[in-house]
Amino acid sequence: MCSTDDKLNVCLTIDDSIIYEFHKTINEDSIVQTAKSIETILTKSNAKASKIQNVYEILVEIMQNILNYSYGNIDLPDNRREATGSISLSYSSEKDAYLLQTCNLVEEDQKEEIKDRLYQVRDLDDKQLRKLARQKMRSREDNHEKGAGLGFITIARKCSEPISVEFIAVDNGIEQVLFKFII
Amino acid sequence: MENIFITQTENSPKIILDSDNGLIEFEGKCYPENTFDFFEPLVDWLEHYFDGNTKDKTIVNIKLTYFNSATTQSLFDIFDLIQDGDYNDLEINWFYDSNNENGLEDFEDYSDEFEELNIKAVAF
Repeated sequence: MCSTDDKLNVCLTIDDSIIYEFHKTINEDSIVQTAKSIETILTKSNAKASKIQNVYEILVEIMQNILNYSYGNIDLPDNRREATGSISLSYSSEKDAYLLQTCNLVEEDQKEEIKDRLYQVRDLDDKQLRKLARQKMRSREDNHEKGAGLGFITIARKCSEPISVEFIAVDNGIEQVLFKFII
Repeated sequence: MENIFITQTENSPKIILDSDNGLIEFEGKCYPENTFDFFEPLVDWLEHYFDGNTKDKTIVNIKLTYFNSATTQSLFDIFDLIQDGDYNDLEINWFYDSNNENGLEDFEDYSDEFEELNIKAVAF
């Protein structure tokens, strides 16, 4: 599902059958359109409101993350950005769970930072995640221009299983990062 | 002080900051690309309003359906400045989807953190 071309690949499958697919570069407009399309599809398929909200918010969070941190992202006018990556969403009726997978490129020095942030949250239960989120919001220690450093905590709270990540070296100092979120 | 009215878009909420009527409202989805830039003028307005410029009664309505983590921080900052501000009669309503089993999660996070504000949950 992962490619390093200049297009974003979004596909939605149900029990391995693709029911929705389109290709776009990641920018603010494509995030809005992707989220809107997925909300419509999940609503039409009578998904629970809580599942729709969790998928929607994780999708937005990870797409904005790719936009801000992907290797080769481009600065546009008005403090906007454009990036490349791929995303797929599938649903298992057996487990009643959605699997959101993303892939993008990052510089090698970001690998450890991503791992640190992820390992900080992946084994925490909801109560612990909530406590950590409140602590970070109070201290504002991870606030930066584009976010509050709360992304992985927010995502972890909405996932039903620990977040999975894999890195693959693709070039000198460049890594492919693959996330799997079970919702 | 000048009121602020912002129209809703697909990823940013309708905003009403009305000092004449003591009404503050956020409604819709909230995940603009530059979330902190989006909130900056709103936070400035709120800091000024809650610095001795409130009406006898102020109503704050938060009706956000989907939002990103930067919005979570911005809302935290807004509740923080309100709690530290000057106000008379204050009513804060957090609207939630009663069909969503997680609908009260965000409300609980904020109401626990800002107990003094007595934030109320209102189903829609």
